[in-house]
Amino acid sequence: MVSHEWPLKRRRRNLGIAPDNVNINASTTPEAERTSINNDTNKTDDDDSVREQIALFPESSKNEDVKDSPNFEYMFVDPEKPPISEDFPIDEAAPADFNIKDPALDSRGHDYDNIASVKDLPEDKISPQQPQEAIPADEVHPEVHLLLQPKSDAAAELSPQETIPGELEASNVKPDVIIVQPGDIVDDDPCAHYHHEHEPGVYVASLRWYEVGVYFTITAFVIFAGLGKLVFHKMHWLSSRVPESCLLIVLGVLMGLLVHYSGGAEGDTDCASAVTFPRFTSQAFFMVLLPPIILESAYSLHDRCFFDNLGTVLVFAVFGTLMNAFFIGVCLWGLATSGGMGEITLTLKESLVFSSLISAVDPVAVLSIFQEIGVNSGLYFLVFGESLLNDGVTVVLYNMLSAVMKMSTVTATDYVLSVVAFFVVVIGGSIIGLFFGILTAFFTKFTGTVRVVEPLAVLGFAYLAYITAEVFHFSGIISLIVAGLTQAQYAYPNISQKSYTTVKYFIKMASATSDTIIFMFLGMVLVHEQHAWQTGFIVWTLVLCFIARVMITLLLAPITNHYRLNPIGIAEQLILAYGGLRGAVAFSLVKLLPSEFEHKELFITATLAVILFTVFVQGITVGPLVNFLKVAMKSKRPRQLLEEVNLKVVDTMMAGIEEVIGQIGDNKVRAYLKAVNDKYFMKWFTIPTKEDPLKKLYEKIAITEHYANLYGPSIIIEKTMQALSVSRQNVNDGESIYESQRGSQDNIVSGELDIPMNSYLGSSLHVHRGSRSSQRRRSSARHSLAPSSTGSRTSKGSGGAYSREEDAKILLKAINNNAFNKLHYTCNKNLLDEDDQDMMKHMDRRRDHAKRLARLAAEADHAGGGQGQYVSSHRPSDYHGLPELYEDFHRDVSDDVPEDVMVLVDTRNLDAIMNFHKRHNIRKQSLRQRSYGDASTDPVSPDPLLSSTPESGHNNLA
Amino acid sequence: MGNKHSLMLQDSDIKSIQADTGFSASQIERLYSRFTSLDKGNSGSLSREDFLRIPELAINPLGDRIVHAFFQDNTTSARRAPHTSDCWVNFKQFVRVLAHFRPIKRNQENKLNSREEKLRFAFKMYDLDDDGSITRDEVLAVLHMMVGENISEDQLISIAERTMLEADVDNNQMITFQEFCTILERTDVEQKMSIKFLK
Repeated sequence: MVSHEWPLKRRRRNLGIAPDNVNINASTTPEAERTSINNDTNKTDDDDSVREQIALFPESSKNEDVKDSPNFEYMFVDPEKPPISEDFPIDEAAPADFNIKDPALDSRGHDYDNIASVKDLPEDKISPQQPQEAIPADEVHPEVHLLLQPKSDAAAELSPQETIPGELEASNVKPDVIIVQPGDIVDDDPCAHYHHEHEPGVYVASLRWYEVGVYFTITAFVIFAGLGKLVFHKMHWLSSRVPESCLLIVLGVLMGLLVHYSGGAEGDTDCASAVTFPRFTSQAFFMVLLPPIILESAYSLHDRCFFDNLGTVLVFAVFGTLMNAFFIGVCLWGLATSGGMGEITLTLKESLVFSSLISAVDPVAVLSIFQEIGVNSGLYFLVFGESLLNDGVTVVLYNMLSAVMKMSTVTATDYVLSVVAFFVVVIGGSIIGLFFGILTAFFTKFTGTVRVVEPLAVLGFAYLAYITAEVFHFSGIISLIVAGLTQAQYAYPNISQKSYTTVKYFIKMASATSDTIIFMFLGMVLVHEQHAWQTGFIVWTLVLCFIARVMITLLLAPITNHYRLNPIGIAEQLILAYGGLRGAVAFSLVKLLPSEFEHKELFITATLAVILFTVFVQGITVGPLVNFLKVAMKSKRPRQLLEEVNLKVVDTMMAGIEEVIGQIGDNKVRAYLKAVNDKYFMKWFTIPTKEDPLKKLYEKIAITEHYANLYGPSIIIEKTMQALSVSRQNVNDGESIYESQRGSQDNIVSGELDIPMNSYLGSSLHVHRGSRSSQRRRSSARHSLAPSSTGSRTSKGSGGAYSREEDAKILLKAINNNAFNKLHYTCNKNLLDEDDQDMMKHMDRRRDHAKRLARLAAEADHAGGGQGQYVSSHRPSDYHGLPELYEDFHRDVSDDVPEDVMVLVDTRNLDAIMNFHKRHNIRKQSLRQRSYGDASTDPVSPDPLLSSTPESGHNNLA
Repeated sequence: MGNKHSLMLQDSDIKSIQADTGFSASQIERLYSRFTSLDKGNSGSLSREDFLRIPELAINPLGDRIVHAFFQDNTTSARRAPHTSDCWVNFKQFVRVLAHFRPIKRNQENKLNSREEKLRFAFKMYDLDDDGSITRDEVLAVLHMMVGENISEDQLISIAERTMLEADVDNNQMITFQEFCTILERTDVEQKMSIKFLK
């Protein structure tokens, strides 16, 4: 892209943007405009003056135009530059929009006249849009960046001046027109449709590609990337080996290729790519793309394990990163000056700026990779916390070094000041983050009745924390991390479950989108940019990055180990070093280097090389390496109540033991902090009815189990029936029936369920039924589903009039036709009554239900013992809530199914009753005897196949 | 032992304690000074009251359990004085209990601070009646100690029952030590139940 004739071109094109204002403001005749432009063109000879104008232009336009115009989305203007208005008088009434009916737009009309006249010229095929491309934001002026293209008519107006013969080949233009616009709006002028649009008059149909093109492209790409991710994760063999960042880079490259080839190789000078090729600017990156990524990571940092490792994380993130940056910087500089990497001149400052940006470890890549691998949470939070805080440090360092670099002379005082500034920036950021975090908590304390504002408050204050820190020149990233952590601690207890879900998924989505967009830019830059390949420099950068990280990790780990209770093992140290993937942040920082930076192209290329190497090579190999080094993995089991209880018990216990020893230790400090937190902060910042985490976990487990109970029995019956039909060929061989049933039962309890209806709770089902009940199930299944062996309990019993296969089919059909199941298989869970998803409602229903059952049980008591008695006394019509379903079930099933199975279906209720009795100190044994009569001899377990848990077994149908 | 202890620690005692627990001599010295400062009666052994005189321990919800663990740990040596069988704990027993909380070092095997021993100590917190198993009522009692008024009695009962249900693999209405270990197998006991000072 950057070639020798570029400077001239650029200068001319740069001009293109400035007269936008002139034209708009002048509102005179085309001739007048042309003269004004010509004046400008004359100035072109004087390079400096043009530069100045360009530099200054956005300032004036910012005031008038940018805010309103859809075409100026993001603009970063050097605030220090005084606006000039003499050269470009500003028309206050400049229309904000291309309102075709607006007579005020006359000036535009004139422009089109201009274009029309230009079209007659022999050079008419030259794109009037040409100038736009020529303002690659960061090349105009270091401080002037345009994310999106300036008004294209600005360029169009300039076209008369731009039609310099021979400067462009017409061939570049044509194909893109076709891409951009469907053939119906065709003209020789590639941008004709655009001008059409603005001619006065009412149009029934028109194309507004220029205004929406960029958004269209980005959205299309994000959606495309989403689809790509879907496919990627469906191909589990791939996604389990390759990190997602790889996919994003590949997609970005594809996008880059598309734009590259569609947009014309020669610097996309046509309408199409000029508009659709979005710009990557500092403003867009720091104000829009980065915050969601950081915030999402900050929320997931809120974990006990992170705070346990906080000291180590800080050491690695602050000192490790600083050492890393200086080591790489100094080494590169040394190698360059000693000629170790070929022909390259590098000042120390330059290499330090580069090394600071290349030290930024990407939290997103790390997060996804280590989540996928599932390493133990200690290591996970170490790596993840380090990579996140490291970003804050790197950005601060980078900004500081960039500032230092601009200074002509650097004194010793400056060095001292920059060290002070470093800590001020970090600590200032933390304080602002803390402030806004607490503000969120306060705010949400009063939102009990207006839940809708909760997500807004949480996300808004977090963003405000970031912005405010940036206003004061503190570190926005640090501020955002602290704000996120504070919110997770104090604001989350205040907001409703739904608001929490909203925040969680919104930020997740925003973060994924940001990441996708950044990688899209990365891919496009990879294809587009004219790379300055310098083998020596790039290879050395790669090597140094790797060596520095390994070295510094191995150096710092023993130091932190000295203060840690469980030292970081050597394997974990290696993983920590190896997991230093570079990504979006490093790329963004290098891309944002000022354009006059001498080695910018080289640095971009080197950064891309490092990113590609770390993401592809290290990212793919880190998984096998973790396995090879036998790093402890995270248990996949869900959290259990006893663990939660035990966590508290152990903390309290350890605080007590430290008291006994009489030393102030971690546990004591933690206990003290916790006491202060509970006593004051939680009281001040959260609503009084805050919930204990234990209770939350309990509710979560209970609701999952509830769903499991809802669907579990049907699934098990279904499975059992399938197993029965499978085992039919073995019907003559009693032993093998048992065997196959046993097998199928094992399948059920080990969670191998692959039944459609089970799709969303499959995991939770097996999770809670787990292996603990396999033994029970197996025995009960054997006795109840193999009638031949326990035939004494049923009249139809063994053999009977029906084959097993028929039984199975009938039962299966009955279950599937059962109205309840129909409801739940076909309904969208999200559309069900919200009450049904609320824990307390379920609990209330359960309580009601338990009362009914108790009454039934009392009746059963009166009616006397005996199994048949029990079953019959259990009237279907009394079944809570859904009597007709129960009747359905009985009608469909009872005639055709071996009684064995029916007994099982009924014992679910028995189980509930038993549980109720147990609570009221009625001895279980007596109840069992009442209901089964010969319980001592009958081996049927009181905890039957069909009820998963005693407590909630009765919810099977309710 | 016991009352026969002089206020000064004998070298031989230090050696035997070292061999027993793996503490360094200086750690033993420091623990001994703590021990004597707790021992208000200068009797060479500590009573429950001595322990509960530590203010924070007295208000610790598990304070009683912790103190109890000190007394109930060394039944064999306590048998020495039958009339005060578990009313006194001497320095050796004191150190032995604390040895549970030494951080585990890779190359240093010691049966007292192994993962299992740590878990066993935690288990004792729940096992109120010292019968080697945890019942629902014991879980409930511990929950009562641990949580404040945030949770209603009903919910606590539910939680206790749910806890039993999860942990009680063999369905005998009690959690054995084995089951306890299984549930907590991924808890980072090594770190959580270690004290830096004792490293």
